[in-house]
Amino acid sequence: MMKVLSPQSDTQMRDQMQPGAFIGSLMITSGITDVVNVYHGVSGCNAMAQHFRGDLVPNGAYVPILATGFLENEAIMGGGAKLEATLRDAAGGRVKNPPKCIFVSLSDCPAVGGEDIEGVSRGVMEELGTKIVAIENAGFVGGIARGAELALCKILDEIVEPWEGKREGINVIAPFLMGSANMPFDIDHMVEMLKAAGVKINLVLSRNTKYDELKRFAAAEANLMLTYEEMRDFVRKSDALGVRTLSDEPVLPYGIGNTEEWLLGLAEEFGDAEKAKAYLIEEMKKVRNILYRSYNFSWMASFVSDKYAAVCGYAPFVVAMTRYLFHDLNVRVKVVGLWGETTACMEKARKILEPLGETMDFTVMENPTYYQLGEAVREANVDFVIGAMQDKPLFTGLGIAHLNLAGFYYFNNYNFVPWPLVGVKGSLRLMSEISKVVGDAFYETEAWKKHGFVAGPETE
Amino acid sequence: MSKLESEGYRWLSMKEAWETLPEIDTPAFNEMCPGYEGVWCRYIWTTTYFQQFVNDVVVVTHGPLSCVAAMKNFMQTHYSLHSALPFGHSPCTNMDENAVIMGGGDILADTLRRVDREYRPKLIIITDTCASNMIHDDVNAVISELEGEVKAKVVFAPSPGFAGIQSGKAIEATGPQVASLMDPPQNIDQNGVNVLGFYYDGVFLESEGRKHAGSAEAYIHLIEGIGCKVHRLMNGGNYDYLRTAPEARVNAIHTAAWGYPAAKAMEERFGTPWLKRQLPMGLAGTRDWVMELAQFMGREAEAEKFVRAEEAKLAGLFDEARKHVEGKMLLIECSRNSQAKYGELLAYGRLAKELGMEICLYCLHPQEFKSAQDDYEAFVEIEGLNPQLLVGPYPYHQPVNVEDVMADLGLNEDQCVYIYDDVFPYAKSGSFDPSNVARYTASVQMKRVKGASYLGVGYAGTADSYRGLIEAVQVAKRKSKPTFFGRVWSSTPYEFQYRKETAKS
Repeated sequence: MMKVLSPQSDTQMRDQMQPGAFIGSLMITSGITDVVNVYHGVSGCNAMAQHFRGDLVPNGAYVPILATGFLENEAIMGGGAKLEATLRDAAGGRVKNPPKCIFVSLSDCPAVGGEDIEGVSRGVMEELGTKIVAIENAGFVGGIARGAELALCKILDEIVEPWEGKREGINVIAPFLMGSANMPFDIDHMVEMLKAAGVKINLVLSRNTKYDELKRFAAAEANLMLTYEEMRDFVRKSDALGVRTLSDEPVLPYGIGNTEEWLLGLAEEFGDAEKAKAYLIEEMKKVRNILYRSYNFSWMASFVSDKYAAVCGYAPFVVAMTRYLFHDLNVRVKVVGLWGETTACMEKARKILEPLGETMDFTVMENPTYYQLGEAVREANVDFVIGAMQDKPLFTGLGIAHLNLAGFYYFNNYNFVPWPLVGVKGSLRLMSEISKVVGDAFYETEAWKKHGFVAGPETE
Repeated sequence: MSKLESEGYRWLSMKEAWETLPEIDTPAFNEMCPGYEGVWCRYIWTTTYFQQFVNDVVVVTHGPLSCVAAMKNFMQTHYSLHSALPFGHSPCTNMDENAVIMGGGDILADTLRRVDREYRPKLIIITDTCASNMIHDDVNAVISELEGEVKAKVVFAPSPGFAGIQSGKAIEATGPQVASLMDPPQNIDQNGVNVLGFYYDGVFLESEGRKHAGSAEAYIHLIEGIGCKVHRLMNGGNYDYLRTAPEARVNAIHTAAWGYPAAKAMEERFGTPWLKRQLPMGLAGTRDWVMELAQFMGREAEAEKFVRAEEAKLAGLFDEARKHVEGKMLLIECSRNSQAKYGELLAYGRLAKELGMEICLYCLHPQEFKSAQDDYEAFVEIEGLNPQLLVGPYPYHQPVNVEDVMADLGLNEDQCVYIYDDVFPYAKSGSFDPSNVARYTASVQMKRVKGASYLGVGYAGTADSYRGLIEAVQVAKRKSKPTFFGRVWSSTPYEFQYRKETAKS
């Protein structure tokens, strides 16, 4: 049975890891390699932006964020002059070759102060001829999903060109909203898988995307959203350009069961299902070549079976991971902590998880505080938790082993091997990761410390 | 004209730099250093500062969830992972557009009620943010409204991000705030000594299971070594530990940046005297710190005996270290990425001078330097340390290259020892790598050693620094097989590549 708790549904109070809108926008614009970001606001917000932008660096690009230097004086007197000076510096190539476009983001302080970032940007753009797109994306207007949507809408409004020809393939939207700490390598392999299944990728918005490629957004047949969040404005604008948005996209391809469903579903609609099947068979051969008759694999696959786990993080990743643990590894997931910004996101996650309730008892917590989540996980007495780096001290502090596969790539996630968690081949990496947390959860290290050998007293 | 000079950089003594640089956040400074934005904001500094109180203290953020994410991202990763701070619950009012327009008093009241009911803390500290502060939400009125209803003590520590973006200013503001959480002393422990100025260093000892020491052991050793008692190490501990801090006889200082503001405020509020020596590193630096305390406590004789015994233990290591580094220049890179830190690094500078080295500082943003009044006071005015500082534009926080610094000073690879803070140290195989230029990891974030303070304080910390410097110089004699890090950052990662280039040139 699936039990659903929404402990914070009657209050605005939250305690969860949810960066604000400008981060979502910057994660979209920082995947466009020949642009520059200008950030107009207080440095605390920008520190976070600059760090999370680092998620896109592995096998990607470094897209600068140039801050305008918004200090206390600007909070009082207005910071238009500094914004203008920075836009001129950016357009002139002060930190990078003159960019194809400058995206402007802002923080709460100038937003509450009513800074006219659109007006200043327009003025500089008219004078210098450099494309400048200003996004009103202060932290208080919403979370990262809302910020991503604001950036996407601006791109559709101001950059994308109408398309009259035949529409083919898909646009893959907002990879970082999947919620995987392995996002850079996951999205790259998802694209690889789709191509192998004959699905044409018109655009990834964004990952190593060129500015000029944005213009052909409308040449796609549909958008594949890598989030469960409702993005009504984006969908409406995309519809107007003739590109529909998939509303019932499959569960993310973590684990073999999810991958099979994901790839065949998309291949049937946009590619070649037979090609997809052939690809899956070939991939499985490679996996079996490593694991079949392997004593170590047999040991770990058996060991992990029937154990208890909890998962927490952004809904798409958590939902997929819950299914992976239950279906592929025969692990019982007792607590599922979901982060999401919209009701639609939670509804979708619930809908996908519900069938699991027929054969497994578990509790779903929607946007719980860390305290509530910690208590629930402690009471469930699970063996390990899959979550994000930022919640490792919580669960480890409760004496529960923790594996950080969710959340952001940045900061103490040391994933240097460019290997995905998604797809058939990703199962190898997942199995390796799970094996690590099984070590933390089951190795009797305290006994080793307490009962280790001690040499007798030295004699003459 | 050197490259640095042509780009507008010049060497000034710290004193001269302090006296000639413009006041912070003025048009003159903005013109001199375009794109200066600071490192964090007052909200992050303040919230992380108060999150060092553990167990029964909860910090509530009145603002958007995004501000909490910015803070939590450091607090729950590096601070917890490497510095023994537990997970800090961070309830937030989750201020949205509606609250920005209509006011956030109601959501704050609701959040406080819930936190009181669910978390049941003894103390709730409210920090505010740019958004809630700019719309003038009356936090104190909400606290008054809930009096009697909420069981926890609730205090407000104003912390709008924009107010004092320069790190020094933001940190300075925390002193009166932390003192306001303390109770007037009932009794003064005549033997009790507080140490103020801990930041993100959990008061948790190796003997309790910590893998790598913080700085607590070092102060326990120094204070107990002269027959006194550690009363409180601040910030740290639970609410009762915090509120009774004024019952010490004197406040000693760990770091000036964090310690002076709290000490000044405690003196003003409770009359607690305080001592100005800080960061006891190196033999002389530690002796000065101990003797200042001993003089105040009337324990000069015990202190002299204690110090002499400790110095005798380190004499051989001191001589060995001196032999390795004497005459060299300590290149102090004050955070290549943030350009905001110099206090702890300058304490290494003091230690290095005692070993016969010269010291210079660069990649310290002039506006950050000028905002850190307490660090300046501690080193330059009190200790008389007055090294050369590279002053210049640092546009958009872009660092200067250490190889340009060496060229400017006319130094070769064997004449330098390189230390840095934070991350992104410079490296380039073939020209600047631990294998050919001595490099010592002094970064507060990165240095962790078993059995000694990661800030290098106290005698164990000093010994570790000496050992580290000796090893760094020895490693740099290798002149081949550069590190992986150096190869990754270099366009000529292989020896066959850079040796060919050197031969050509």
